[in-house]
Formats: sequence, C-alpha cells, structure tokens
Amino acid sequence: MENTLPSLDHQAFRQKLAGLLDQETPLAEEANGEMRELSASLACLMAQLFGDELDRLTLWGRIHSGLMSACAKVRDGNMELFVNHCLEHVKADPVRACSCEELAALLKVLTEKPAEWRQAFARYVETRIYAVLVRGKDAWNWKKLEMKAESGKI
Amino acid sequence: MSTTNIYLYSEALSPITHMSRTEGNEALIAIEPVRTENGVQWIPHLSGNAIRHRCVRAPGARYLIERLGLAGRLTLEQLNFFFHGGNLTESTGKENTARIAEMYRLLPFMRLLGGCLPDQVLSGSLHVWRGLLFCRENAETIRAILPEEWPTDGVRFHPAQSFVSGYQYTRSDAEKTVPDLLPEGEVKTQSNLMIFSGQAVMRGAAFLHGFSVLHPSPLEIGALLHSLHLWSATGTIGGQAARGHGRLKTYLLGEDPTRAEAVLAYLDHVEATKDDARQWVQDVFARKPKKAKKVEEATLLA
Repeated sequence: MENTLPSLDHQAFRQKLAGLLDQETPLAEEANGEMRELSASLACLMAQLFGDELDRLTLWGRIHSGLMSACAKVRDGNMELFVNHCLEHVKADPVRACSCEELAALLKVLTEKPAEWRQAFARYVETRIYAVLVRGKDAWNWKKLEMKAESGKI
Repeated sequence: MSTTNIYLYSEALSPITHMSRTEGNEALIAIEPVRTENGVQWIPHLSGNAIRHRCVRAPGARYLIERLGLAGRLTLEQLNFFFHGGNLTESTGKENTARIAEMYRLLPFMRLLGGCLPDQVLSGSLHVWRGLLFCRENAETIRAILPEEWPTDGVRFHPAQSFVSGYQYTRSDAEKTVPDLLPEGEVKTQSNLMIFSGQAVMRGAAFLHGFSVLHPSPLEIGALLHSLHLWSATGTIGGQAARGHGRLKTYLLGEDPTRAEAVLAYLDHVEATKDDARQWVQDVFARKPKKAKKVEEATLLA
C-alpha cells in the first residue's frame, strides 16, 4: 500500500517540464505598436459599420462587449473569426461591410500575420481594452471629420 | 549533523487561488517581487506558511489526535498547540530540558514542527520553502535550488503573467431560484445576490517547493512524508476549494526506497507510544489550581 507521495525520476521530470516551455519566438518590441494601431482601426471600423437597428447611444458599450466577446470566443488566433464576431456583435450590414475598403485592408493584414502574432493580438485587445476603446474612438472622430470633408459638409 | 532536503514538484489540477488580499469583491493572488534582468517583476507564489499548515501540520495533527484517542477531549490550548503551534499562556517561562526530551521521544511530529507549551517555546526542525512557479522569471532561482543532477539549463519557460487567469462566480438569491418555496407575505429586505471574482494561477501550471529538516531522525522524516501523503488525498492549497480550486498533484523528486520505511517506522512508533504521548499532553497542559487568596494580616487582627 502506498504511504508516500509518488516520485519523479529525471526523465519524468524533464517530460513534465516540457509542458511548461515556451516554444514560441518572442515577438519584437515594435509588435506592440502595430497592435496598438490595428486594434484602434478595428474599433473604429466597428463604429463605422455599426448597425442601423441598434441604438447609437450604445455605440461604445457595444463595441466594448463585441471585442471582449470575440477575445473570449477566439483563442486560436483565427482573425477571420475574430473580426466576424466583432462585426456580428455590432450588427454590421453585410453590403456596407463588403464594400468597405478599410475592412478589406485590415482583414488582409491580420490574416497574413504569423500564428503567435495573431494570438498575441487577441490577448493585447483583451488586456488593454480601455486603451483600445480610447484610441478607437479617437480614430473614429478623425474618420467622421474625413467623411464630412469628403461629402463637402465642412 | 546533517540536513535532509526534500524536493517536490506540484502541478495545478485546477485553478490555484492563493490570495494575498481582496479589493472589493475581487480576490487578488499572492505575488512577490523578484529581481530579474528585466527589472523587478511580480510573480505568483505559494507561501511557506500556507504549505506548512495545509500540507504538513493540519493533516499530521489530525492523524495524531485520532490515533491518541484525543478527539473531543482536548482543550482549546491543546488544539492550538497541535494545529497552530499554540502560544505562551503562563506569566513566566521555564526551561525544562527533560520535558523537551520526552516530547521529542513521544511526539516526533511535534519535534518536526515545534510549538508553544504553556511556559516554553520549542523550535521545530522543519524549514518550509516557498512554492516557486515554474516560469521564466524564476528560472535562475529554480536552477540554483535544484541539485546538479536535476538540470534545467537551456529551458525557456513561459512568462509568469501567462499563467494568471481570472474567475467569476455568483451567489444567487432564493427569491429568484426557489420562489415556489417562499412563505406568503415574506417581505424582501436585502438581495442575497452577489457576484464575486478573482485571480488564479491556471490549471497546468507547476510549482517547485520543498522542505529542509535539520538534523532529522528517521521518525521525523517519516512524520513529514506521512503528513504529505495524508494531505495529497484531497491535496488543496489556497482558497475557493469549495468551488474546485486549489487542487495539486504532488510528486517527490527522485526515488528513495527508505521513504516508505521511514513512514512505516513512524506509524509503528505512534502506536507504540500513544498511551504515554496522551498522558504527556494531558500533564503538560494541565490547568493549575488557582492559588488561595492571601488574607492581609491586618484583616486577621481586626
């Protein structure tokens, strides 16, 4: 009858350690800067494509919950799924979405990143959500001015 | 003269919530500063205090009390002595080496842990290490602690922060969950609903920890290993165990056939000395009769 704890020999110990090792290539410091820009762009696009059937007063609350929900649901770095969850959450109109050049450009950049970058991006958004929202709102304010200028209203 | 080091590897089978404090309804895990090449980093850890009580003293004390037939027969002072080390309750201390020697003979478990008799502090032979998270920031320390035959050179662990997760639970309100059982006319005063949350070290993380026993007898080693074995049956550390947190699977590093022998020797010793040990506990903590009040001479002459 066993009356002590089980034991590990050297080989078993090394096997246990293998599960704790970081196999990923560390991301360069500038990756954070890029994530900062791209996450703000995503939040801005969510505002730009915000569904007409939703109350505009809930804009940034909805963008917040959309981003957090996407982070919770997408854990493998699938950026198509991530963006899809975000746009579904704000009831983006598919017709407007497919004609949005900025969305197409963002999707291209995000989906072509390496796997560890994409996973790190989702973690970045999740852990810095307030910063993402602040920068996203700032980007959206600039975008609105741009749109007004283009339509000749300024 | 020797010291016996026992090294342990514990892996988290469920989230580990070893708390340092709460902020509002949020429990924050215990972290400690560690100087690394990237400056001071704050790393989750398991305190030696928690390991000492949960893994060694509590299970070993309960076992002893049951084997000695003392369950339900101990005073609060005696219970505190076994479970929490006790404290001085007499106004003057005494040095009674014969009593110390007798305790060492009868209760090697208490020699291991030490404690306070009513009038004497007894140090124990057990030093408990902190539980070190296997993470990048602790790599150098882990390498320094482990003996040479357990190399960890060249390994690159995940950073500590990647092992920290969160949780959130809800305490509900009977008004909502069992409205069919509410008495008629019951007036609601305050909602029972509460959301509480906190941090945890995630499942799959692992800790290095261990013990140093100073100049040990085989019976003390047996007592220590037996306590760990008892603890491992339910094996939790930290809080929220009622909700599935805190479960550890613990291994001894290295194989040593003398360990099982030491435990058996300890168990045999407890059986052989239990009557004398019970008597010793009762004698040492016997409450002294109150002294008769000294009557003033003037009162006598009056």
